[in-house]
Amino acid sequence: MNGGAPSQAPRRLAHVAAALTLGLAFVGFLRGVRETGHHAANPPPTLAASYAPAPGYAELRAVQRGPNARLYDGAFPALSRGLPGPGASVEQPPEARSAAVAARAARRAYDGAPPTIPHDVDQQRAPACLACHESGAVVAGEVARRMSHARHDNCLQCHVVRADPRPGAPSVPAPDNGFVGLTSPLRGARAYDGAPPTIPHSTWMREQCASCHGPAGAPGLRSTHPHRQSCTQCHTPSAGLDQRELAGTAGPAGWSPVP
Amino acid sequence: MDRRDWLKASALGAATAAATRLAEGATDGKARLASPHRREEGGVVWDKAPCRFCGTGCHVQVGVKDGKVVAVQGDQHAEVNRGLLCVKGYHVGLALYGKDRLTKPLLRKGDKFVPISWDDAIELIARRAIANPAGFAVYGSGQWTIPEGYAAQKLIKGGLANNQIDPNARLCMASAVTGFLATYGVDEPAGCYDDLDRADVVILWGNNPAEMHPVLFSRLIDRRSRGEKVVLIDLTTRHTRSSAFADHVILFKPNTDLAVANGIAHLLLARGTYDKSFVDRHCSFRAHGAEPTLEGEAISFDDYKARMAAYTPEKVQELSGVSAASVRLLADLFGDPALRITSLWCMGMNQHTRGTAINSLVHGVHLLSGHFGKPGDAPTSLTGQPSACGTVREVGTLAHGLPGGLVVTNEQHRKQAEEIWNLPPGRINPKPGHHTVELWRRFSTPREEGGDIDTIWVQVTNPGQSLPNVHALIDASRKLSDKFLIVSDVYPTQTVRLADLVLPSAMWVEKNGMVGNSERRTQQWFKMVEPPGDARPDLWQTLAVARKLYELGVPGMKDKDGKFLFHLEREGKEVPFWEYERFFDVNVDEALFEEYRRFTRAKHKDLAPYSEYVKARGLRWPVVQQPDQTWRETKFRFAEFDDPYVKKGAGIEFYHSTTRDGRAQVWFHPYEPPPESPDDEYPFWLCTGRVVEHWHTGSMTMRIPQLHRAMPQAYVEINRDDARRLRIQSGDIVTLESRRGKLDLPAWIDGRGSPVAGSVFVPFFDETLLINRLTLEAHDPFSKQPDYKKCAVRLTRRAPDPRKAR
Amino acid sequence: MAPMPIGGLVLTLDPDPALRESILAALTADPRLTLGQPLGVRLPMVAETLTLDDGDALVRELSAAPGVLFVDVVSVDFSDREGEEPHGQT
Repeated sequence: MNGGAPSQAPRRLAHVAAALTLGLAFVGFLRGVRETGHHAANPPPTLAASYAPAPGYAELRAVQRGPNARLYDGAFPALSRGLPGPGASVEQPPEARSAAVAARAARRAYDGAPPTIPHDVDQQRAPACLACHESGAVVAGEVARRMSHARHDNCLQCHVVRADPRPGAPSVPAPDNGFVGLTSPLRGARAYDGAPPTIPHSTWMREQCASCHGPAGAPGLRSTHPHRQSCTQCHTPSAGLDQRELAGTAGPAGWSPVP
Repeated sequence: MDRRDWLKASALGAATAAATRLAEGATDGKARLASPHRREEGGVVWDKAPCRFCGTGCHVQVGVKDGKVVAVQGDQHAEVNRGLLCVKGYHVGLALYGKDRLTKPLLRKGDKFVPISWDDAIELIARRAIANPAGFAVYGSGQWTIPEGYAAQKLIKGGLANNQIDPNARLCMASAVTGFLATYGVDEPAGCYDDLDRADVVILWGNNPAEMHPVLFSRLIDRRSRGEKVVLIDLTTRHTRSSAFADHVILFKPNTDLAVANGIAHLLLARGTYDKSFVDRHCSFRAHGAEPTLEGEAISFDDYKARMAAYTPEKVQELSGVSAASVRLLADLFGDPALRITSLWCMGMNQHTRGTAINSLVHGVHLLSGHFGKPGDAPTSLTGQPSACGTVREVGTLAHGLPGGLVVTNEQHRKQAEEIWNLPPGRINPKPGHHTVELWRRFSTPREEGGDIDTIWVQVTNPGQSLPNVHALIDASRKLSDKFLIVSDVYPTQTVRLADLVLPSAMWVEKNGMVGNSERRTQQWFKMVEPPGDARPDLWQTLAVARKLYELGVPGMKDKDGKFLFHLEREGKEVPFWEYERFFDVNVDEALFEEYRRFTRAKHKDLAPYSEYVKARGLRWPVVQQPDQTWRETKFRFAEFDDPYVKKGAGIEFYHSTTRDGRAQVWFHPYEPPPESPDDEYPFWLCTGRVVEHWHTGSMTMRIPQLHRAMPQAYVEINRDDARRLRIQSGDIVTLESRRGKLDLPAWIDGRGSPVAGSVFVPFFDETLLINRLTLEAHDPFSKQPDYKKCAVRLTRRAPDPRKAR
Repeated sequence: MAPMPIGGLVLTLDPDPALRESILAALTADPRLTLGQPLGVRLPMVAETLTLDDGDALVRELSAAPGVLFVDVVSVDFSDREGEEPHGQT
């Protein structure tokens, strides 16, 4: 035990040092968090008295929009709840389809346009999207749909947020535009009653049918038989809608060269 | 009639109905031309068109229903984009339908605009040109279609013969042009986008393609998800979305890219890892003599090596802030002959007071290391506008240019042009007109003080927002009563608000068109919908003014046989296309293109007949006819395996070499400090640029709800450490001030990008927050392109964001 | 006569008059085809073939013929084949 005492002192010192460091870090953290209070108390000379103090980091978080803002409280338990499996029972209330199509239309300019993003995103590092959207997830009660197309890493090339991405910026009115987008076709054609309907939309960039029609799809769009995975076995896509008819370099038609 | 006959009759009925629809053409009885790519699905007619926005040149499929664009798809048969678009491309159709489209010609009366007829507007323009032909200028853009630019070019150079025509592309890629000319003797990249499919290493020189050329960026980085290895190096002054994908982000101090390029060359030479056989066979060396010129003076290899000796990694680190280890890393890569290396750049190197120099240096590094002429090994400049290459560089709508790479200062070139245009000898003026900055400076200067330009006709661009130092270059002209500004546009832009006469234009698929993208690809589309109200194509506007000048007896409007400059015959009869009702009787685009095509063989930039472009999703020049009469495009210029103009056995041949020996010029340019650097008074660098959502000055994209909502307002990006020091938080209003102007902007820290310490970034799309009141009109001595990327500013935290007041 | 599928087609012909004459002659002589009234370069017609596969082959044959730029299949009638077992891929 004799040899114990000399070794105790440095250990105790280390504890004290660690406590001090932690304490300093905590004070530093508080100072950081309360930075705005500090500003308000010592306003720079140019600041007019009528301006309210800038919000702190915690307040900024609170004014963030969308489900991802809630990632900070309870997102991970929610994630683990996961998506319904393919065996889940499917309800297809008849009026649900037009509601689902209307909801889709609210998120895109026309049928086939990339949907906008209903939550905040990291403005500089796009691949974070894949964490939820590569295979789909449930986040805080909201379905993060699996992307409908093959993986492209620069997600924010096509998908943009729905409101000013700058923290705290209020939404401003969108410009007036007379564009009327192509609407989603409500249903495919059936050869006879009971035949499988054709696919009424282009399948280009929409080849993952389960994205909308899988068990996590909106009621009305959800397949009644999600356990069947080979969709195009029974539902035929349209060569015209999918641009497959356009060989590309056939001769000009109805067009005559300069004499 | 039995059942079978009835079935046959109904089948024939359906077929006849379909044939009728197909035969009727694109939109109405007038549009006689139909594209072979047209298809109809559920009442929607689809056809191909290149996207309206950037220089990538994606093809889209445009869906039209009841005379309106209703949808857009990526064109799967287009080699450029293979079915993918960016968010602007997907929403390009909405650009036509902003509620404030211009639909009537308007003339300024005091503070108001009053509608006038097209006839009066055209006559008014003609009268201005007649009153002072020498002072009449056209200011166009890289958004002109090829026929539009060609018509304006012929009107000014072949008709009025004052050479006063310049495009906004002067502000955008003029330094890329001079870089190519100084190095290869002929403009435009040798490689193409196929290089991106093959490169092992891609170096971004001050370039953010993840936002500015996203489809090309995806073409590159999506290779990684297929298991391929692509090393991405981001040489930058600002951490961006592209940086997020990079293996190495190398931050440098603004303007020191020249030091970095020289550092690479120095190590290749010092270590002996340059490509000796490539240099011996294909390169000469060049530097400025006492009088700097674009051609420079020959120097020996030893001289070149001696001049580069100063750029040791340690010296480069001192100048640029790039670590010596990073300089060595770049030199290691260029020194490895087994790798394929592609360099990409755009405005970072072009909007640079040393633009020609840095362009030449990057070409030089590739040539010195032999990373040239194999797929994946290429120095490639990108363009920002859909036809910066096709119209500005190839049709030559610059103050000194003639079509096909010819120039007005060369007597032989003038003769060639006069012959093709059937002009009397000596018609073309050998004196170049004013370059953009000079043109606008003269327009904003009183006549008695040397302001010799009194009328400018602006087409398809927005100089009121995009010129540098706008107060001095354009706003000042509005106080001079004898200056007259004509603006053809589709929306009330900042420039339209300044105009004396406003002409409503048709845009994109409201007219026929052809454009040329960054990889030498010429593209074509047909008119698909009608323009709104009285809006008319810019091409018609130009031709109608030319015809009016002809009718008013202006001699320049006649060719040497006394016929109208734009005379067009069908079946022996003159076609009066200047009457708008008759404009679509013939395809004027095609007629002008076939004439223009004759110029393109002069510099081996051969274009195919119009009909080939109707069939294709664009073709890359030179397009050369084969023995079997088909037309073949060229992907890799100057390389024997692909370019038909390279001598057999040469391997690589620079057949427009300035030294006429098939060699390219490897340049030495020293690093020099910029004209305006931060100092005690203005301690920050200001860099300007774009964001993915908006294109150019936002006149189209700010009217698209999805894009506007995602990015409604400009902001200033500040480095986190600087912001902390100045007690600035995101959302606070900051006053940004340069020696030329000041502007209040909300701050955004670690938002879309993060600039290096000591610098700030502001996007220029927002017409309500005009950052070009602050920028500097200092420009490159050869390209005359201004530097929008570097000027000195100071920041003051004015107040917290008032919108957050509760 | 055995039931045969009936198809409505639109051919887009080459505007070259020489080519056009020769292809029109060839089409008129084909017993499987009943030609409609040409509309510019578009020619509507009805095709009768023994089987759907023959119909497919005919369309391919027509597309490859010199002077034919495009073949658009406007309608195919299956009603004569009702009650038969489906065959091939749909």
